[in-house]
Amino acid sequence: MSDARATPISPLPATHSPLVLVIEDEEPIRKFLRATLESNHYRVKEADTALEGTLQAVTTYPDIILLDLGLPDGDGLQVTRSIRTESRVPIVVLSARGQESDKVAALDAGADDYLTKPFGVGELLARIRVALRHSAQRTDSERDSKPYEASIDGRTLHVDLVARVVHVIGADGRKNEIRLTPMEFKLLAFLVKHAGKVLTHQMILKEIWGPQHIHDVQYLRVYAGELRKKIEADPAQPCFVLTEPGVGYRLLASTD
Amino acid sequence: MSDSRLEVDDVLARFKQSQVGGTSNNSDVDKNTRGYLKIFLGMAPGVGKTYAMLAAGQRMATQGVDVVVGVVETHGRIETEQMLLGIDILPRLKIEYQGTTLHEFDTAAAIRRRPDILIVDELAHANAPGSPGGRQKRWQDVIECLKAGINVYTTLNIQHLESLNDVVAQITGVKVSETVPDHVFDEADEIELVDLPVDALHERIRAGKVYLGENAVRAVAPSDGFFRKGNLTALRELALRRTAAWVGSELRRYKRDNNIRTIWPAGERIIVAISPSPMSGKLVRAAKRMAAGLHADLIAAYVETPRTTTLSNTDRERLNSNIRLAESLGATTTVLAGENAARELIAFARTKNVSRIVVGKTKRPRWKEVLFGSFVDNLIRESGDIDIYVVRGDDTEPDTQSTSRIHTTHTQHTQNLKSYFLAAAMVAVVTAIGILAFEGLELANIAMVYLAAVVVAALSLGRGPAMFVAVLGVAAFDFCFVRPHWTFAVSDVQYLLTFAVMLSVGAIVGTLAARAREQTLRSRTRELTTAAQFALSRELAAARDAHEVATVVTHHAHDLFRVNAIVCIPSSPKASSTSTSLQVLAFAGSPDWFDGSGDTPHHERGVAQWAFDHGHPAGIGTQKLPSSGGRYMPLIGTGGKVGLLGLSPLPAADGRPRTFTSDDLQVLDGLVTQASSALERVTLSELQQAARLEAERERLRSALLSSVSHDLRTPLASITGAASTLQQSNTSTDLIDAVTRADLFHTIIDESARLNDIIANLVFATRLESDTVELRREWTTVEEVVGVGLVRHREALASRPFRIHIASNMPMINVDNAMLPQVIHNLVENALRYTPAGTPVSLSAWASEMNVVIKIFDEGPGLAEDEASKVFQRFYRGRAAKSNARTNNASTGMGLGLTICEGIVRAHKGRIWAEPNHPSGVAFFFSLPIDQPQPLLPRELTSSTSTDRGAG
Repeated sequence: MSDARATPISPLPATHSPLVLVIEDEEPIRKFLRATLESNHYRVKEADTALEGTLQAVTTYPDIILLDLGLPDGDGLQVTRSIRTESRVPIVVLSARGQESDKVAALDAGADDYLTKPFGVGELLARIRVALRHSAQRTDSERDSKPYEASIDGRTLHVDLVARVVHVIGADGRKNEIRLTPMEFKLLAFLVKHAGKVLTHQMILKEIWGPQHIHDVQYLRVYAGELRKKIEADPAQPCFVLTEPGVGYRLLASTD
Repeated sequence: MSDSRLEVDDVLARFKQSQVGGTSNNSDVDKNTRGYLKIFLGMAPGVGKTYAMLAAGQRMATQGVDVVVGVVETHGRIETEQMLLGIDILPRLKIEYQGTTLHEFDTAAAIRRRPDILIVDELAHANAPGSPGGRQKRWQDVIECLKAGINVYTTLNIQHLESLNDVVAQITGVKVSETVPDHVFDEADEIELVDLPVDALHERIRAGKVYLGENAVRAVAPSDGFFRKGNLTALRELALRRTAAWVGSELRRYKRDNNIRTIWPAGERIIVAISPSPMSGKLVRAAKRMAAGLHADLIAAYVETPRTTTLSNTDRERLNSNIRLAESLGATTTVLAGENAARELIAFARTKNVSRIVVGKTKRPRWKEVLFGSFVDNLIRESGDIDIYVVRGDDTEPDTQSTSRIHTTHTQHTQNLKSYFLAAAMVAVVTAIGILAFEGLELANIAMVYLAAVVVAALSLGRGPAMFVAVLGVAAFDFCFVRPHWTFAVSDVQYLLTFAVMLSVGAIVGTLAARAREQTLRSRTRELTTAAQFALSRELAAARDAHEVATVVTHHAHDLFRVNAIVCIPSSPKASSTSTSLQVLAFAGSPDWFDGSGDTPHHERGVAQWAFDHGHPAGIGTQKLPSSGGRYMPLIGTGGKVGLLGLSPLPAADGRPRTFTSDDLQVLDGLVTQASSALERVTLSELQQAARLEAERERLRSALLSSVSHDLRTPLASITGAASTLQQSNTSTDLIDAVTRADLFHTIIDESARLNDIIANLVFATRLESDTVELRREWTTVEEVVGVGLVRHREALASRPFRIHIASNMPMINVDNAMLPQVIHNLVENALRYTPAGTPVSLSAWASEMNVVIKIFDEGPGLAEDEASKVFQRFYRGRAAKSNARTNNASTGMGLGLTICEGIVRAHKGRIWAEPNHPSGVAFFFSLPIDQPQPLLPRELTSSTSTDRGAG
């Protein structure tokens, strides 16, 4: 099952490689996506309209869908909703900067993640990997038992949700246990469960403080700040708990 | 037929001539677009004016001229009715008045219909109250038509001419109330006298051709009817004479127009001296007749002397109505001021080169004239080469005002009574002092004390009480001090001389002192007026826009005249030519009377509109709609109409409506002049300002365009260059080593990112440009904003010393999370771009009581001294930046980044500024207000983690 994680270094037989459905009306972008994805051993199908995209999504059983929000014959939001009535396939939305509310709406409608145009190849592949991993884990409880571990700039964050222990290993190799308040831990645990994936403010607020607090973004700002003070080297330049401006937060994807 | 042909030619010729215009005379300038007015003048009803007029109309109609009847009263006369056949008749305007429907001439319809010739009967007719445009008289309707360029035929009976009004009344015993001002008659282009011998008229009346049935019999009642022979003969003579006078002036006009000057002496001028006297009306009319006979200009002058300050309100009103009458008769009016009326008048006459002065006979008793001198005598003494005409006053005219005068001067009387009491008390005190303190003194010295009392009374109480003191003093002196004591008897006859001297010295000293006092009082009021005017001009000079000017003007009017005042301006700026609606710009007091809320009628706005459209004052105290609630004066600058001043007097204390006195009007004239020029000045400068702003905006727009095209092309060029090099190296043999290749790829990616940045900034710029920036505010922390702002610089910042210090316990800020990080991004971008690689950059943030301040500073070359204020201007790039731009591969950017920072911070009601950093470099600061109250936070956090936050 872990093969589905499709690291680009280990080529897989064509039939086992994941199928990516690209729904995008701009030909140059489709071309670039196909080239990149195929060279990274994904199979690619293309659709250039909302209608065709929706049809293909339910008929070709893709492993993941890359969906442009600005389609000529209907908006991506509608496509997301249509697909969600039929399937749980991960959807990564492609959109321009300045469309934060559209992104939030798409995520609320069931999209799994988004990419802001213009984006680099590294970012694209990372998102696809994360989305595929989460769709694979959805079927078992592995994600709860497996500790989270992510490294950046020589520092490593280690979270064991079962043991409720958080460690940061510094650049000097020293391991520090981090003491978190119950709320901070609850926030970190939720982020860990969706590591690498964007979580909107509303999703987090609802999960941690309940539905009556989904508009109290200030709660989240303060807790995220507290959490960063404890785990980041520089809370003003966070590496683990990342801000998605206007949308929400994302925990750095775990390094396997 | 031939003579009617001639008439048509004549009309057309005159018409063309009037359209060519070009003469220097004022009245002719008016006629450039005016219609042609022909008056059929008759001595009495029934002579056939209407018939003659219609006959003329018919003749023109047969020549193909478009003739329309506006209004004709046929009085059921059959011949007249027949003359109407074949001519269009305009429907009359129905006006409901006190339950009956009146049919009036429809001016608006006539102007719409626009005939070549319009026939309007009975020029002197008074319109029903409430006629459109507030025109009370039909002659005003006719003037409107003439102004609209329509030629008019009309009829007039001689007794309706204003200047002949009282003569006719004298002859016939019938006072005619419907009058036509002389200037309407004088300015007619053609007068046709419809003459009929008196016997023939009687014949016609008897035959029932003038009045039908009963009336016919009554009208010709031989002895006492209007139509008695004596009356008609006199009226006929008047009509003939007036026509002759008109023809004479027409001839004169002709000669003048043709530059035949030599035969004619310089225009004569006649002054008529008017006063508050009820006789003045008659006097003015007489002077007008004389002026008309001599073709002279008439000047009506009123001399204000110290006495006039004590005029009763009734007198003042009468004076004003006399002045208005003079104006309506075509006289220019002037108010002079001075000590001696006769001398002032003569001096004025000399400056105006006047040859004749008309004055009224006084009704004063002879003893008064002997004692105080008479105005007429003084005038004659001073006159020199000027002729003085003394005209009889009208003794029979009833003094209808006398009762109200008593009423209005009641308070003045009580005032006077008090003064006399005081005067008596003074005499008593002086006498007591004399008895007690000066026992045994020389009588002459005691007399001196009494004289001193006279002077004191004159200075403090006025002339009357001073005289009173003089008389009473002499009596007391006699009674108490002159032997035998305690009687009025005098033992020594020479004391009689003492009394006489005492009395006359008292009178003279008292008069002089009282006059000095009055003059002081008057100069004080003058001084107040002057001071007010000075204050007005100073405030107007300081006013910077139309609204301020209007406010100053309305407040001054309010204070000076105790009125509600408004200033209106046309709603569209280019209003001088076409009719546009007025909008109230400022008011003092209450604007209700104007806008018609409450019980005041709504037509005030219409009156104001009329005044503005026609450039003439209207309302209270004018010829136009005097019954309005306000007086409206157009403000006319050198370039045309700029606005309108409206004043509505507050009711006087006793509840009677107040009007404007001649003093008020004089001051008001000054106010209007000053307001006009001030309003014009600011209107012009506002237009200039708008034009300059527009030009500036245009300049920015084109600067933005060129900047965009330049700054977008630069990264594109790098990308294209790098990409094509890579493409070539791919096809040819390996010319480029791996390092260069990596470098080129790096260039492509970096430059793309930069393009993306530029576009982001452009988007912000456009959003900020449209004045309605909507911030999507959210509570957040400073760390959060800084983090997002730095995220795209992470790589670049990693390559140089970069320090962040954010104070602990910072308050939360309520900001737009998409916009504010851009400020930090751009400021850091600025620091990175314009400092050499490796230069330290820092960011710190702290909170003061009111603000959160964020500072981004570098240790680079810094700004030149004068640059700190300019950097936030659009497209400004530092000098260092400009010189670096070519040598450094670090590219130029748009100069837009800091402008956007400024816009975003300002939208957040914050402040952004730059200062030199010590020891080197530049520091950018921006501050944001701390919004209160701060948002609610979960309880456990506020209690438990505050220490954590402090420690962190």
